[in-house]
Amino acid sequence: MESWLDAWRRYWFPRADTRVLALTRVLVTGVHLLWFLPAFASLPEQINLLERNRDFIDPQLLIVAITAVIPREVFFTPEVFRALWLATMIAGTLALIGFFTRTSLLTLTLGTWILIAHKYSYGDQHHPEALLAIFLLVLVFAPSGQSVSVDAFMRRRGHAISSNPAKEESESNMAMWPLKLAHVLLAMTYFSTGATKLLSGGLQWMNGYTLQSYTFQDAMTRNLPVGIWLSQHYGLAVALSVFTLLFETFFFVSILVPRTAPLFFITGVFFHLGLFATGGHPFFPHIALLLVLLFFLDTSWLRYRLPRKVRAPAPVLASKVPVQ
Amino acid sequence: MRRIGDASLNQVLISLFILAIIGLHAVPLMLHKGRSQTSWPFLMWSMYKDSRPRGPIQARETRLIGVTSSGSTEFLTAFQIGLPRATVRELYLKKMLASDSSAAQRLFARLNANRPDPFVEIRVMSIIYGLTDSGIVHRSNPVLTFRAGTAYLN
Repeated sequence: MESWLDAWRRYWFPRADTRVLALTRVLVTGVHLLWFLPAFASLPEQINLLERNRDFIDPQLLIVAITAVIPREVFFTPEVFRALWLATMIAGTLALIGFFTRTSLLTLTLGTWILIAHKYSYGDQHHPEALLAIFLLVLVFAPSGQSVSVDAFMRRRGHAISSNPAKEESESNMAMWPLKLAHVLLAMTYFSTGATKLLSGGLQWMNGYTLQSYTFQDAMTRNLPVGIWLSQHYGLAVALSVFTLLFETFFFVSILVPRTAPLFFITGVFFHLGLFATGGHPFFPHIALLLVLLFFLDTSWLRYRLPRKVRAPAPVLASKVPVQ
Repeated sequence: MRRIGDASLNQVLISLFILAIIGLHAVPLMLHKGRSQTSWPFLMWSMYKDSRPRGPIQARETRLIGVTSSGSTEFLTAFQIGLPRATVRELYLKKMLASDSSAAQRLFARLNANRPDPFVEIRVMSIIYGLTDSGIVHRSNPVLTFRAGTAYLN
């Protein structure tokens, strides 16, 4: 039992540079704010849904929970959603620069969850934003603002919001678990997608006709030339079917054999770019997570160092802690 | 920092959080009812799971066209209808393609609410595309026409 607990602790809580988590925060919130949020939960789309529907069709659990406390006609109005959108964007900007990082990340996460859950309460839901939304919540509970943030700058200037010495360290054993959790969640979702193909479609899923059919339908209705071209090449469809099943089902190997992880992450990026080009599936949040993992989960393979400017050495920071 | 065994309290709490996040992915399995999932962002990941047997490879493209009382004609988009495309397909398009005129009347009611120039006719166009050795071929199905306030199909 003790060895299991040790292994758990070693896996999730290794000592790591907090700049890695901070740069992850900057990258993820930046891309989310500038691209994903406007694209996946655009304000005009939200307002249109609110104005043209008096009821939800299949409300998400989060929406059911909100309506249990606040009546639909009070909360789900264009005025409230305009304010919610604005608050979410402001919180995202603050999270990006790391000002009141935890609070702004929490507000960004709540706003994002409500906006997207609302969009998916009208009888249709999709997968691309789900893991990134969970990852935003995960960042709330990690020391995401400990480096590369206005909060860290203020602490160095002696305007510490907290007198907790742990906050002044540039290394922490709480900095790596969000990335490791993102890795595990990606592995779970890929495995689930691959395994259900095998369970439901069987080995026939790799017969070439299956991928040709799916691609042809998506590409024709979305006018995607690459997809239309692919659907006309049977041999390529067979090869890509085999590749898809192997990639999805065995992505978890990247957890068990960490040296293979970069290969899986790079393959995943191209896998999703391919899905977008051939079928129009916008899994850009997955690409963002895969790139974050590629660059920050294990930096040793890249043999690079982050610029010194983005942090002060721990002893310098420690000397700034106000004496109690 | 309080310690429990060799772990800090923070590590214990975060460990429970990690287990909860992973465990919550079991919720959609329990709630799953047909196509729609209501536990976002904790979802079942089972897209495009069915296989297709050897046979014709086809795609269908459908369009809804509305004609207003003043005679103008416009394509009806999901945005204009105020629902996601997949929901429009499930609630209206599939049923109208199966000659269900009651679905068309429900669509008229939705489209014409607070509209000064109401739609009086909806046409459903569909094109079937097929893959052949000589390239892509297509054929148009007969246009289905539904009129507001009637329950018959032309």
